[in-house]
Amino acid sequence: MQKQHRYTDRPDCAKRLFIEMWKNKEIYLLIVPAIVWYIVLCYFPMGGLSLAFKNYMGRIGIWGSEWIGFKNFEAVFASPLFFNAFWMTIYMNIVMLAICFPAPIVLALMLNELRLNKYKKALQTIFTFPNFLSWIIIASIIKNLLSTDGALNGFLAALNMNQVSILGEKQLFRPLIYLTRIWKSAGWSSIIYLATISGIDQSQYEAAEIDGANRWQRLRFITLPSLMGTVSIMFILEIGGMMSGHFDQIYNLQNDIVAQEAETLALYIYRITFERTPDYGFSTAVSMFCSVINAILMITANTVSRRLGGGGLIGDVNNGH
Amino acid sequence: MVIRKRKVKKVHNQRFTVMDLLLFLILTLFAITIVFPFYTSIVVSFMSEHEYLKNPFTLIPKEIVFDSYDTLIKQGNIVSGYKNTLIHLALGMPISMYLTCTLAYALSKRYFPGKKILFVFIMITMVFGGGTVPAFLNIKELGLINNRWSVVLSNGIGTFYVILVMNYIHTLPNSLFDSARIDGANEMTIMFRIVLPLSKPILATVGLFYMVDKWNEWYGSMLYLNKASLYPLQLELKQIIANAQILDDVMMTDSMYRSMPTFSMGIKMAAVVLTMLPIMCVFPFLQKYFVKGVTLGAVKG
Repeated sequence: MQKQHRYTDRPDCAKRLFIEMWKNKEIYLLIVPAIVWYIVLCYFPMGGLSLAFKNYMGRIGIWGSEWIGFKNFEAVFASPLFFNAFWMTIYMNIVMLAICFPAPIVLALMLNELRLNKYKKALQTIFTFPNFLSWIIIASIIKNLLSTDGALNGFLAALNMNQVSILGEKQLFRPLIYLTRIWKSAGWSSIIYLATISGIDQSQYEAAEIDGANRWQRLRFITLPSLMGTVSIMFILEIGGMMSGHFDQIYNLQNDIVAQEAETLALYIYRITFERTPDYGFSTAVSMFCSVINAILMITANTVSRRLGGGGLIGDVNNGH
Repeated sequence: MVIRKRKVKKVHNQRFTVMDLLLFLILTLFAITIVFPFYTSIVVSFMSEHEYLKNPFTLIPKEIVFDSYDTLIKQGNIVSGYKNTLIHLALGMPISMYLTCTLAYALSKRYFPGKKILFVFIMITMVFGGGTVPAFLNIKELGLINNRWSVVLSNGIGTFYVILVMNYIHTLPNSLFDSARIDGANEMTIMFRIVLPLSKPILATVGLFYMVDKWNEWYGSMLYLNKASLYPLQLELKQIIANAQILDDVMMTDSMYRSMPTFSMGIKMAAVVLTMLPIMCVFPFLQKYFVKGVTLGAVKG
């Protein structure tokens, strides 16, 4: 930065900027491929959202199709199927925030309190494993276990009990989604919390112990408050993907009987676009609705969390500079 | 591992209480619910149809047979799936790593004109995205439908991984780069000779994440590839499971198919085992690297 002074006495800002840029020309050359990637594969689709205001013509493509204003959105908001999917998305996400979101926190606290360290490591390896498999694999395994001719029913038959058909039961489908979600990813998410816990200053615990705080009090007044920053970051991430998430899981676990029970917006978009003659304008309007709500939710959660002193995701990354 | 720090302090004045026993039991139970489904799946894949029909709930099969694997490999789908996934990895990994490293290196520099803009430029993609339909139409307009580059390219950069690498490079001492610069090294040299060798731990972690992501990729392939010969492993698995289901339904009604040698559950599970085999084999040894990615991120956040 020292060298800049040579140029500061000149009023010619543009020239100074150009010289600075010229000095860094290698950096720009280095990042050109990455920038091209972002433009072509992230920003083109974002621009493609303009299709929500157009009548898509396959032959002339997105950019040539004619503008029709808000007609697609009018059609979307007049569709009862859209609203069903919308409410289902909100409903399932609220339940997931209540059940699936706290699960890894509880798991992390439990693992942290476990005294047997060798065993704890083995447990962590087991708990994190399912997270690294695709939902296709997980769904197949769950079907093997729970289907009518699967292991569970074999076990029940051996005990002379009645068969249960968990996968074909409408009321059980959503609970199955919640439970398998915890089963697959709680272990991995708990690692994030455990990492934070291990970063807590040990002298706090020692001081509390000297002051006579018992285990529960130490957990309540030291560990939990120290976790709040991480909790809020995870919460923001969870909220930010609310409208478009969980497609993999529901899509792979569902069957014809229960398909209607958990049709969230992500599945709705897939179904109207790829399983019948598509109206791309309509689908894009729904897509755009999801993206906008996601962004609003994420930014709101981020702002609120920062106001409350919990630390935000976006702000933190910026502070990293 | 991070968690190690605590154990030194925890030993004194603690007895194994009822609370500890309860924790032990709950955690063990959870571990069993995770291991057991995998275990039965593996067992079923090695069972004979005869034994499975007698009792689907078998903990230790009387005889281990490879019939399901034989049938599966003879069908050939899983082999072509393996081939395609390996091609995706071979094409995709260098691209992903190169793009991630260059971007992270640039963003970790103290200053160059446009750095802030660049940062906002990539952060926006984390908050806002086009979604499935525009992404699909984009690939279509690029003419990449039924071309494996569609899958390879659409999984190019993970913005989150860029930030992980960037945060790590931030922790390296700046004086290193400055002295290299004074010695006349250009940016390429500094990046490849100094920064990246020093960032090996995070690059290993991010590389593993990319590999797992690419191994598990199926959604893009399902949308962009229509030719079965191009399907990656996960999609082949999905097809095998769907087909076995259909075959089951058909066999109940149609005697024409009776002659075909099929034990659909066994074949399905054999396909599952083959699909998760690489991850299952290496995961216990590499788990610490995955954890490292999280902790390196957490330290910074």
